[in-house]
Amino acid sequence: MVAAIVADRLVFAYGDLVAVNDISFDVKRGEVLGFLGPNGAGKTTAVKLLTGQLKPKSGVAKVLGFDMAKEPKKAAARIGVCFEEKNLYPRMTGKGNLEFFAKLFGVKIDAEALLVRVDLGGRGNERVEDYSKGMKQRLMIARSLVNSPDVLFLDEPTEGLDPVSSENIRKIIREEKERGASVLLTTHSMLEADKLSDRVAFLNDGKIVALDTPESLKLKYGKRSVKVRPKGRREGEEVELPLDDPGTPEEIKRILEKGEFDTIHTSEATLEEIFFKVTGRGL
Amino acid sequence: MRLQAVAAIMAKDVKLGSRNTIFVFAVLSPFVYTFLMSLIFGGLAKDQPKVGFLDMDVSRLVPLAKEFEGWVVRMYSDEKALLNAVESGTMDGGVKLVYGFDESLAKGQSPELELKFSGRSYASHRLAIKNTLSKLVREMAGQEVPIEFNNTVLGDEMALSMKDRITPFIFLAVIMVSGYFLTSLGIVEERETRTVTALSVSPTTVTEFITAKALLGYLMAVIATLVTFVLNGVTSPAYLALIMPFMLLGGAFAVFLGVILGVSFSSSTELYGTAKGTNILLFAPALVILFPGIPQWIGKLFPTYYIINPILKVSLLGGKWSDVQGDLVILVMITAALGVTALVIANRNKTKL
Amino acid sequence: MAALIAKDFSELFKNRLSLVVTVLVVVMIPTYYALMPSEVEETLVLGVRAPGLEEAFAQLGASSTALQIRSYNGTSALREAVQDGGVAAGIELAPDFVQRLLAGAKPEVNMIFSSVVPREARDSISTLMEELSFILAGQKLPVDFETEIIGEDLAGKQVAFRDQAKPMWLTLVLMVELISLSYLIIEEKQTGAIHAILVTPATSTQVFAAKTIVGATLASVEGTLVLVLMGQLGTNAPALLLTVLTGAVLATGFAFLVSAPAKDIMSSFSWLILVYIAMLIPPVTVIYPAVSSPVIKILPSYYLADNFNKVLNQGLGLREIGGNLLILVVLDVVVLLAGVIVLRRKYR
Repeated sequence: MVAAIVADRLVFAYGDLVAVNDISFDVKRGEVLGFLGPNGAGKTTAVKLLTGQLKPKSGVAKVLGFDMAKEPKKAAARIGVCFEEKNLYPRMTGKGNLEFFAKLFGVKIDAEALLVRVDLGGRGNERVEDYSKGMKQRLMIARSLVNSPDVLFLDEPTEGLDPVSSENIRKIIREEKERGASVLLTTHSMLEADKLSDRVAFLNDGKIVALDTPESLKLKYGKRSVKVRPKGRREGEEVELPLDDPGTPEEIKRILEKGEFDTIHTSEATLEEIFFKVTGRGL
Repeated sequence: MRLQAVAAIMAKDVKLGSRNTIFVFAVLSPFVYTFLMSLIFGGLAKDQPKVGFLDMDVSRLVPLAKEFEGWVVRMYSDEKALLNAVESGTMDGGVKLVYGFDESLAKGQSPELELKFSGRSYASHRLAIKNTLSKLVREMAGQEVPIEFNNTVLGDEMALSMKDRITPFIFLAVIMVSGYFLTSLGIVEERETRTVTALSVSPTTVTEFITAKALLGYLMAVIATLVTFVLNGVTSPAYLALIMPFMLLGGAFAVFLGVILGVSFSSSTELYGTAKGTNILLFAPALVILFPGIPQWIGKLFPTYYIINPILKVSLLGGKWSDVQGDLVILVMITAALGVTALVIANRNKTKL
Repeated sequence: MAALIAKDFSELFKNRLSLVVTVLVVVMIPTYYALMPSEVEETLVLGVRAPGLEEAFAQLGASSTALQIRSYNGTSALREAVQDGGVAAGIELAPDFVQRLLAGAKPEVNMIFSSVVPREARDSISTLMEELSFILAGQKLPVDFETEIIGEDLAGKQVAFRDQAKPMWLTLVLMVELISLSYLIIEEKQTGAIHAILVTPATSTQVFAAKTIVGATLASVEGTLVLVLMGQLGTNAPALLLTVLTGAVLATGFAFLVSAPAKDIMSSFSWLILVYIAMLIPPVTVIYPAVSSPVIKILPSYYLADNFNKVLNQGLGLREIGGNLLILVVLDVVVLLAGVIVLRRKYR
């Protein structure tokens, strides 16, 4: 099956600064790929190459089989993009923004239904300039769904949203995935990447330094251990017992029999810890 | 190019127009400029004497007075209003025709003719008013003019009043607000708000985007110019037909200029500052026409001269096709060159958009 | 305060738009004033070549302040005078004009006009010649004119348009500062810089005081400069400077009011235009008193325009404009306070 998104040895530079340095990956139909990396890693540049906003210096960016450097508009009707910066028409209403873009895509939409989906029901007749930051972000998501896209590019989709709204957006992403859309999700949030992504790619200094499922990455780079907090100790003062150590099972048995603990739990590496391990820097 | 996308963008801009100050100003510009320029420059030449008439009867003098083109006549229905008008200087003079004036005149009874002059009126206007009234009553009394006139007119220069000289300024201002400023601002604003980025990942192409902005600016420029013609008394179909090509080309010129600036600047502040600077170049010919003391050939160095000069010649001086065809050829060439330049620059800046 | 004032001045001068508009206005208004006619031409100057009738025409010219007759000996001299614009028109009569007129033979009158004289003006001049010929032919006027001058007779004392317009020019100069100052305030709002300032020891009172000083100083300097360049400051410097200062503070208050509701520079445009039109109405009524009405006195710039008119065109002094100055001071305080209150609320 042809992948929905294919990046093949992509390179892009802003003057002397190489922002994307020979990256290759693909995103299959119905898959969510998380792009994780610190600021300046090249995530947004990679997205711009894949959405046809920029032309690569070398390499190929293909979406739905179309070369985005040569035929961006052929893919444009079937992709949805939620940008990091809010680029809505401020003097237009929320509904007006959606209906306008629907016209550009040549589709008919139920704007109110779309607004309800992103928790903006009943607010569609207000001007965007009067929306809060969170409302604008939700409208950005709604706009990216106007044409029921086959491929979704979501750049920091839950930025500025409260936990409830964030969970709603994650629910929408899952629904889109179930519908068969492919999603490229760039985010700082390892929690989000972990919860949503089928696979994650770590970007650092324009290169992909790791690309696998979250579980595989954790197994590969993580440290398996059990953390015990003895009675009376504070959080953070746990004792860590490596699971691979032959003496650990006996030690655990002894602790459980004595009952002199407040908490005991297994511990997995987080994606953030893995990222630090792989790149030597934090997210 | 998808016309649907172009239409959608234009419709969006028109809908948002009422919330956009510049758009509203562009719509109102024919009225604003006509009013303002008449106000500012109109006082420079109190060209014609203004006379108010109060006719207590139905005198033949009134229609004769209205026919005479050397003054401006206004009718008043009561003496107080007439006196106020004369005192304030609205009217240079006021004439009260008593009941039975015509009868007395016909009987040779030398009726009284009340004539009040405004203290603010020019001496020459007072003289002209009195002489004209004398002429008209003599005509009513059957006195034949005892001389014949043989008129000679010297020179080729245009007999233009100051108000006439302002008119090209008004046309140019109206074309430029809609065609030039509105078009460029329409592009720049979308770059500022980054909505053009959102458009770029939709099926809409850069060509469709710029076409929509340019087309809207063009339509508004053409409509605004037509309205300006009407407001300034240029309504003869023959004249309008003759100046139509210049109006259409002038609008295109302005829009091409607008596109060039719109794709070259990314902030409205920069655009505004540059527009203010280029105004001097665009309006230079209008200033040359406004002040006949400046050698008129200087105006010909500026492209906008070939928009306003033909309009002036035809609409105000009754010029014919032969008087303006040369200007049309030059304007076509200038507009075509500007159009090509706009295309090249827009293409070059495609990725920036 | 010094830091705030210095920053505001610096930001204003860094703004290319403000600089261009300011320089344009300060340079163009005096230039325009200098180019415009300083006198009102209310006398009709006619050139005449009428052998044998020189005396009669000279008397005609002498009898009327509205007419000036210049006699020429030859046709070419007369035509040259018409072409040069030395006379409005030329009248040429044959030597036997009077005889033919009295014999009822309708003698010909050669009227020579320049192409720059509008047709309506030519009609007027021809009418004059017609009336003259009636008089020479002994045809009595069939009516008795009863003429009266209403209002102060300004014949020979007319104020030129450029001088009538002085209140308008000066009001315009003072109001131009609206653009610069409101731009500065809006930019600070847009970028959030104002909030950064307000979390320092600088109080909002100091912020507003600094802006008032900067705005009023700039407008005053510009107004004074224009007066100097127009050669008008010497008319009555204290009266003019006080009027300029009160006008400058008024403009500053309006800048605050205009900036408060505006979200960006372009949207402030509509408010600016409204204020401009409202402020320019009173000075326009100085030029066109016909459009004046008592309602105009509610517009603050009425007192500005009235002061400028009284001092510059009527030669009046501080005593006569004192009342207006007092009203202006009160208006300054009211408008400034209103502007501060409204803008402060937007800062929160």
